[in-house]
Amino acid sequence: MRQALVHMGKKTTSLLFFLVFVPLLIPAQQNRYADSLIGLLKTKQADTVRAKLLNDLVWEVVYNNPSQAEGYGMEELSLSQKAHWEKGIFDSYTALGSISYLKSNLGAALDYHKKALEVSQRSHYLKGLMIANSNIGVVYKDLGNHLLETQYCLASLKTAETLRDSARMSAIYSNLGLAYQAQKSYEEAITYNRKALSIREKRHDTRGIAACYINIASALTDQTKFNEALDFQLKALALAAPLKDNYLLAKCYSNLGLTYKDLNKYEEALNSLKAGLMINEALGSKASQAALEINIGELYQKMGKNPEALSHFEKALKVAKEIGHKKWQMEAYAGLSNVYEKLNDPAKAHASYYQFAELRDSMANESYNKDIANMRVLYDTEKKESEITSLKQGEEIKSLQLLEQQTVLQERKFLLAASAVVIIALILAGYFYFSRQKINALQKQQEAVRQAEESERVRMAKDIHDDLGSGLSKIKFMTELVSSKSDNSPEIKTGIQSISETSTFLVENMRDLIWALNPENTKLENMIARIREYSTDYLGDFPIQLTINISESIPDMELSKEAHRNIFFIVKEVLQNIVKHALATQVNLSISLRDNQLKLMLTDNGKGYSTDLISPGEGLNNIRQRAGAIKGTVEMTSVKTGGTCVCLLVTFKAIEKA
Amino acid sequence: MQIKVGIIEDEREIAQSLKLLINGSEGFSCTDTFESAKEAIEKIPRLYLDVVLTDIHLPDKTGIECIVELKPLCPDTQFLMCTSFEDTESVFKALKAGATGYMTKTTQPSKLLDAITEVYKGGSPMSSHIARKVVASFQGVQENNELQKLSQREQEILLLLSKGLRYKEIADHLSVSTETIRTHIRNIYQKLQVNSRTDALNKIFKK
Repeated sequence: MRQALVHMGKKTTSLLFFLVFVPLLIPAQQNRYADSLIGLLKTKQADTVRAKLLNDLVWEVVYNNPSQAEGYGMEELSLSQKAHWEKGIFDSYTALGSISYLKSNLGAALDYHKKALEVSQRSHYLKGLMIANSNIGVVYKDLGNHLLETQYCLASLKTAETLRDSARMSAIYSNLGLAYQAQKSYEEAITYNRKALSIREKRHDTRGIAACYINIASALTDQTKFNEALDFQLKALALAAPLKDNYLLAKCYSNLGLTYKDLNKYEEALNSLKAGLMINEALGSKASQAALEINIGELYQKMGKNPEALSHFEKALKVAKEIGHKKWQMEAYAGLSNVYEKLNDPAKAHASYYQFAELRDSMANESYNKDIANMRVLYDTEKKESEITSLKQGEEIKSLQLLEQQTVLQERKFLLAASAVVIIALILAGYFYFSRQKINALQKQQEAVRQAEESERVRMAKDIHDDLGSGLSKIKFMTELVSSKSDNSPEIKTGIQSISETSTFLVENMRDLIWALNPENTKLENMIARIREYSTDYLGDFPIQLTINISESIPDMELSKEAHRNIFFIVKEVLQNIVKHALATQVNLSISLRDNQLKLMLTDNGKGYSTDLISPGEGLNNIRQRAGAIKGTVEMTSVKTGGTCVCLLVTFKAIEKA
Repeated sequence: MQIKVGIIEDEREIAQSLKLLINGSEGFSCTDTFESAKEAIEKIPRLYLDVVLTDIHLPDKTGIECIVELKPLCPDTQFLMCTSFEDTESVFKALKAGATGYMTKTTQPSKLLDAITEVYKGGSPMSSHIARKVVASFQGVQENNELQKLSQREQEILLLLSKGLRYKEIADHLSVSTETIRTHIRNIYQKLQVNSRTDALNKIFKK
């Protein structure tokens, strides 16, 4: 009997550990206050806005008052349905599912999360797909169905990777860690938790980090590495304390207490467990309360304080009966039986043991039925005919079990397991095939939308340009008209001139804009031709002589749009500076293409403008920025003759189209 | 002798200021402006204009369609395409339709007069981008059709243009005068136009 008790004590421990992941479902807006939300709700708002507020409110109160949260969730759902707002409906189902999960109502949680999954599938809401799959996985974990858990987990991971959602990826890593723990692969469990941890540390997700610590501690406890586990429990508590999350805090204290108990530090264990108990009482988490009472009872028993132990076991029994929790009732009876034995009350000890045994047998039956029920859920979900056969086989085998010898029984069990594995593998393969196809189709659709958007953007830019362009030309022509009338004063003429210049400048800028939006590709050779042409035309208006040296052979290379734009901009800017500030009579443009590098030099024979005339805030800075954008460098040096040389150096690799 | 200029432009203010500018400059005269393609197609063939400035956006048709109809009716008139920015695609279409030059509306007044003169003389400077398009459009031409083929010299000039060289540089490079280059360019423009016509005819007959 004592053996049984120790064994069950351990089970208590692991069950307490499990409830940690749900906090990860919390949306980002945690620091809003429930009261201000309620205040906002009282004002007149559209249904969708009210639904959104209610959702925020759910997550604000869920850990401290799940029942109130449920009320908000229901209201949110009906508002969203009324408004035919899919996103709202999804959020409501997810909220309700999470609340049910927190209230240990796993059946309802599964229903809600599956409804959420349906909504996200029919509205092609990728993020929702990811969230719902992950949540269903969590519920299946608690239902003890690790295969379905893995299936949904991996489906969610796929979407999370598509969306590059690091928060969700960390949650799934964490879940996979627990799945491995359940399979007693502790090293892997810890590895996955550490993966989750590193993502959360980058995101400064304190709650998530605490959850990782708790899970790592749990894996360590299962390996009986209690001292290392204790370190993590203490770290988790330190993080949880300032968060005002009673749910998490209760978990931390309870776990810490259990670890102290494992280390036989009775006083510390008692303090922590009682702290956990107090918070759970305030939260109304009856199941946790019962579990803690049992653990406290066991502690007192170990300390030889049997009367105290008795009262805690009795309390545990009372609470467990209130909520109909058979397992805790059974454990409480086991504890009571032990204590009565110590207190020399064999009649009561026997009566308690009898109750314990009854519950144990009925639970064993239930557990079998639950397995059957879980398989039926599998059948319902996946609509696979073959599952029925496997169920029937299971029943057949059960009746045979009574007749057959032990060895035959083992063989059959093996066969059942093998066929179940094959069937489930088939279902998994089917599921992944279809979900991948669905995701592929979604991606294609998104790509088409993106392309349509791009061409629409180009079209709009062109339209705007045409309209504005002709308007600006009009301004320009009209100013020409006014200035040609000779009766204007010089000031007016200057003013008109600057209007004309500004409109020209604006049209130039718009040309750059169109260029940036134009998806057409440019070859290196074409860009060089354009630079040459532009320099000749631009300097042709001024008394400046241009000489040109350009490499004879130009590599056949496509340029990235950015490179084309930035290099051309630099040439324009430098030429403008020469004309405005240098007072030059000669300019040399030289482009050399050697050693996989483009070297563009503009040299003038002017009076030098690099240091005196251009403040860093002006053109020079712009030139540097543009060069930096294509990983190039710009050098500006004074030439002996007094002029300036601007030299741009950039590697082919940096400008070639990827 | 004055260059007689017409203007197809639906924005009345722009048309008026262009007219004023042209009339105020020595060697140019502008008597007629047209607000729509329909008006232009009705009146221009009887006016014997030297150069017509054509806006690309007109209320009833595009400037390009307008040139397609007008050029056969008045082969001696030169059409100068006006675009709000250097839209090579439209410019090239206009050239194939029979335009012999193009300019952007932001061109300075003095440059505008230069462009009119250039077009009157032979054809305005061809950008490297356009030159490349011209070369490409001749690549499908049949070998035996001498009339529609580019000569050795013309090909040479187009190659230099596509490298970004300007008329004067090309003239220096080939040791000829800029006038010679202009003549070559005009011939290229004409072949381009003939080509696109035969192209169109071929398409019709193939049906």
